[in-house]
Amino acid sequence: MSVTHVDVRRGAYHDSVTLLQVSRTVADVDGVEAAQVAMATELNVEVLGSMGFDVPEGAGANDLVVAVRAADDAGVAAGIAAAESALAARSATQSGGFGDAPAPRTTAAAVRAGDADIALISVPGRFAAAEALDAIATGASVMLFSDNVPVEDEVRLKDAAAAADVLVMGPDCGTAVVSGVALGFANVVGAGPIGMVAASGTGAQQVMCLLDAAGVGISHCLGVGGRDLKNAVGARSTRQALAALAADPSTTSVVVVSKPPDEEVLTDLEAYAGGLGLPVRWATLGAGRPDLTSAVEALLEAEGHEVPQWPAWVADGDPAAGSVEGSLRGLFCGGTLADDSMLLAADALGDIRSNIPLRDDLALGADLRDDGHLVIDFGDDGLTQGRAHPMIDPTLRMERIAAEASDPTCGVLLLDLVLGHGAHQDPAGELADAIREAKHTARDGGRHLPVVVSVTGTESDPQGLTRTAETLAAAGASVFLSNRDATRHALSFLGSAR
Amino acid sequence: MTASTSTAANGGAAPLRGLLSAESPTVATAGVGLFADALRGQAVTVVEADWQPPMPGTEGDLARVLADTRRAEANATAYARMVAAGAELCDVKQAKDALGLERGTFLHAGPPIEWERMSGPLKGALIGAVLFEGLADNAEEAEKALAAGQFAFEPCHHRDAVGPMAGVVSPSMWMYGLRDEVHDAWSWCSLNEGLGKVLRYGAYGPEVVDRLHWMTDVLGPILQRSVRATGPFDIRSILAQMLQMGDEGHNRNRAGSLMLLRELLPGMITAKASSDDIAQAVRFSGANEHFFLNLGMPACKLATMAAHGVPGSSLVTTMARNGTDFGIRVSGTGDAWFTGPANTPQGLFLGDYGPDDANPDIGDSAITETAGIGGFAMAAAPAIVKFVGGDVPFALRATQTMYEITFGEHPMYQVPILDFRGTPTGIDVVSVVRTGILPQINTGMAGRVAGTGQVGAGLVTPPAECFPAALAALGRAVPA
Amino acid sequence: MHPRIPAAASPLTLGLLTGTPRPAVVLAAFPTALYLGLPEHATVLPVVTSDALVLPTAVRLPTPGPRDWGVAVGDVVNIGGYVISLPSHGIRVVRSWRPRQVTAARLLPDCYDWSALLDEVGLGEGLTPRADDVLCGALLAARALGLDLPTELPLTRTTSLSASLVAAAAKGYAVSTVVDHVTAVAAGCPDLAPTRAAVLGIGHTSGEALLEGVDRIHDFVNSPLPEGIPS
Repeated sequence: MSVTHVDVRRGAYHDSVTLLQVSRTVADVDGVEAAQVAMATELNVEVLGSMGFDVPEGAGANDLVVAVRAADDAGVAAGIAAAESALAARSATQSGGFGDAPAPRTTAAAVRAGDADIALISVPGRFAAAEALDAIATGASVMLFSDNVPVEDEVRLKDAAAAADVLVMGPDCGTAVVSGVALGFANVVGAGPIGMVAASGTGAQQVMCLLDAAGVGISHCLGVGGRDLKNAVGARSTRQALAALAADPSTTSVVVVSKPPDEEVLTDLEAYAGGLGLPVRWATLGAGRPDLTSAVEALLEAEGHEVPQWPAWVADGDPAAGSVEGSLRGLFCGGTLADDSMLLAADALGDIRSNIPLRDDLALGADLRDDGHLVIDFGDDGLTQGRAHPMIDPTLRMERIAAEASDPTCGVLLLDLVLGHGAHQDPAGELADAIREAKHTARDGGRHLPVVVSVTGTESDPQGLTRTAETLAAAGASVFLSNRDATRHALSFLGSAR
Repeated sequence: MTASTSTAANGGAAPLRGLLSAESPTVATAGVGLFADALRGQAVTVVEADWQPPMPGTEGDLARVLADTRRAEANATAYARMVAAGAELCDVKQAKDALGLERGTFLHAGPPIEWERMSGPLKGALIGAVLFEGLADNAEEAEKALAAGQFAFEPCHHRDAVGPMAGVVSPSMWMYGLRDEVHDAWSWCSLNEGLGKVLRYGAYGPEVVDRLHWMTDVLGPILQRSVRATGPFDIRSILAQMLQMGDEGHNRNRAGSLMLLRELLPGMITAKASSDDIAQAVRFSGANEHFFLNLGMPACKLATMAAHGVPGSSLVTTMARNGTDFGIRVSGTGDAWFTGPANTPQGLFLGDYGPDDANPDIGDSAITETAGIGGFAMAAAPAIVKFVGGDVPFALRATQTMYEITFGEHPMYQVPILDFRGTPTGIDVVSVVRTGILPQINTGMAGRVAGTGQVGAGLVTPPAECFPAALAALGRAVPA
Repeated sequence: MHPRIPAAASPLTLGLLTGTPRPAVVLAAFPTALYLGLPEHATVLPVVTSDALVLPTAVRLPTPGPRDWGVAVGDVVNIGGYVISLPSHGIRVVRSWRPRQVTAARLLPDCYDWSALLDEVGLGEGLTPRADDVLCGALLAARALGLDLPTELPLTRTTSLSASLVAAAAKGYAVSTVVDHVTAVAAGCPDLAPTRAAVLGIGHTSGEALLEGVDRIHDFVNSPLPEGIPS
């Protein structure tokens, strides 16, 4: 009979990523069967409930829940002790010595304390606008990683930023590189003449990695948030970013990377870019427009560079082309990579259902299930409320990979993996295990399941492109740097593909 | 600033304030610690905010108030008025003349309160004041009359006055009159009775009432003659100096009291009075190390009055306690009080007294913190920890923490050990709600039972609920 | 295993850190800066804390001083493989920072006679002799205003550190406040007081000497005498 412990600590706030790490530490303690250390948000209380932990009434989003189940009292005590020391270790890094000023408590105070150029804000979305507005008022540009920020707030922030001559990168901006400094998720790429403006995080990472593979570096990559090229926002940040890059001596041409933009915004933007006096090229996804890889290839040709053979590791022993029954299952962490693949796949397969559908009528239900072709973006706002981004916490996608393995309607698995700063330190190991297991499960079910992974990364990334690819290839996956090539490879197996 | 598309290279302002020409950008972070770690790993200079969610349930009001386009300028105006306000001791008068206080009306500290809800010390002080004014023959009779509603009560703050602890003022009591020439305003405060069993701590025994009579008959007139003959005296400049001499202006007033005495003595000695009376008045004033508090408080009141009434401003202009409730008023919300149950101070006790003997927080003296001194200037007065508890690192941290919730740094009041940084001044309701940091107040502790007097001194904060309530009112006041 | 702290290198001196480890001698160790000399003259690697004056050739640390480098003048340390190995810790280069550069203007027809400035190289006290600072200011201004630079610099006549800074200035690199001032001068900015004040804050006398060099060239361009020698 195991022992369960739940206690609530009022007003003890920690960020979700820290708590994820603390929870893992506690779960690894000998004798502990299950553990969750989390803020008592609605969603987390539900998760705790499903794990068999009852959270007392009245606990709210500002209260910390420590829940441990163990074989006996000693195990519970060890678990709690581990939680406490892990939480203390985190706060110890904050406190100073005798007479030192306490750590600043708001973004603006931190900007003032360090005379910072940039504020990187990743607080929960409903608090993000206040932090960003303050940072703007202190004269710093803002990278707003937080998602779930209302579009009215986005417009207000961007208007305030324009008036203060600073840039708002975001909200929901995962990637930026300013003067060689990577903010959020970004790859280690060389310095060079290409300036990037990105209304897309993983799309920008794919483009910078392809450029890097072609030996071309970037000057800066300015994120603008996934909605900037939508009508509601009207490319407010993109215009500011383009003007700044046009005036930057280290930038000689610019590429704009975006999820499918609104047509009117794009048309106006093209006119605006035409007057800037330097070439502006477009990797803006959409039906009838080039995919990311093709856009990079066109850019390289226009700049007089050779288009290289994109790195690929093709698995042996997969089924022959066109021989697989069943559907495409694309499970993505990167929203733009998902869009890129979906657009390519739609050409070959027709309708693809998704939680970020190309048309409203292709939307998946809340259970994210369908027997046909589908592409899921696990990084979408709807799946990240109250939990970390799947590039940090891959749990949901791992569960889905296992589910697809035993689903006879799944014909081929298409996955993405993004390397670089901010991403998981060893993502390949976990994913390779999951792939191996999935293939095994499928084989037990009498199927041969091909798995294709699009890896966005560079050799200089902490995780290393080749090292990562080889780990995945050893698990039987085919690996491609180009998301287009990965998608085409996955499609090639399907008999239903045109 | 106008955005320019010209480049740094040709000398125009670079766009985005030169963001793209930063040699090695410095980054401030708030939220996920992983991102700060990733930046440190890239050898980037990072300042990580210890961000916490705002007080629960305040998101909507915060959004409304932060979107108030008047607020930035309103706060700047209120703050500028607060630090520009003058404070000169110009007169000493009886309350009936200074405030037009009618016989049978009594002022008290803190927000408005009815007799039934009053705490022991406030009741005791009112009993003493009734006896002193000759409106009852004994304490029992006084209490009965007070309970029967025969007298009127009003907060000192409603008459531009302030009173320490119980803050009870009756018409015959003498008041210091301080004038702010810049904003053409007056503020008033009673004379300090010294330590021990005194009316402001709720004591009303014969020695208390006798002392009040002596103050009325002898001390008041001598001080009036002194001030009128040799004044006015600049109280702000004494405040500025005493912060550099180890006082914080609320619970430590030693240097300030000596400097004030130095100013008053020539006029007191030459005042028209018997040499015995003069000697007694001088000895009384000199024996009291809180002599100055009753001048520091109205000086702070003048500053916060000047800042009051700016539409859209979220700066706090009053913090006051009546021993039952703690109340705040805010520049942009007019005369409304936002109250919550007063906390009981934590600190050190006199003699055999202990925590059970202490009354909840009481007095208008938190006006000092409202104006940027007292607990906010604790770093200037490390010796205070021997009196109110805590340790020296705490004192340093207290002042530095208050910068998180204040608008500016006082140009005159400076803290030597923080490299003469101005004291944190102008509490912003929005910052308090966002950070959850409550104003730090140093205070005396009154005995819970009427008639006990002072039992100790310590540290206290306002009840948190005052601030979300004030924020909600600010939100309602935002023009559509 | 020594702790290794991350640092950012200047592209101007990154090459000194990439090869196999080799010895460098400590030329000076201050609480906020460490100067390492290599056998080649004019080859100095400064290592600075975040609150120090950041020379364009420096390796930058992300945190402020004071710092105990654990070495004294004359000590020998190894640098290479992206690491500076100090006795108690290593400094590991993980990134390049981007020193500001004065933009070169189109060349004017006028010729400036550099001989007077070049004759004085090495004259003055300290790690960066005054005459060298004047020359640095003049080289930067000449680049920004479009004058020909001297074809050869007599770098062996001065200290290694100063020589490295003169070489950097000839390529348009300097401390960012100096780049700002020279840029403002070249743009004909009407109010130079703020950028002048910022430059004056550099070192004991370096700022004033740098300004003198900038002014000499600026005056020459604004009122060129027939012989091309400023009055």
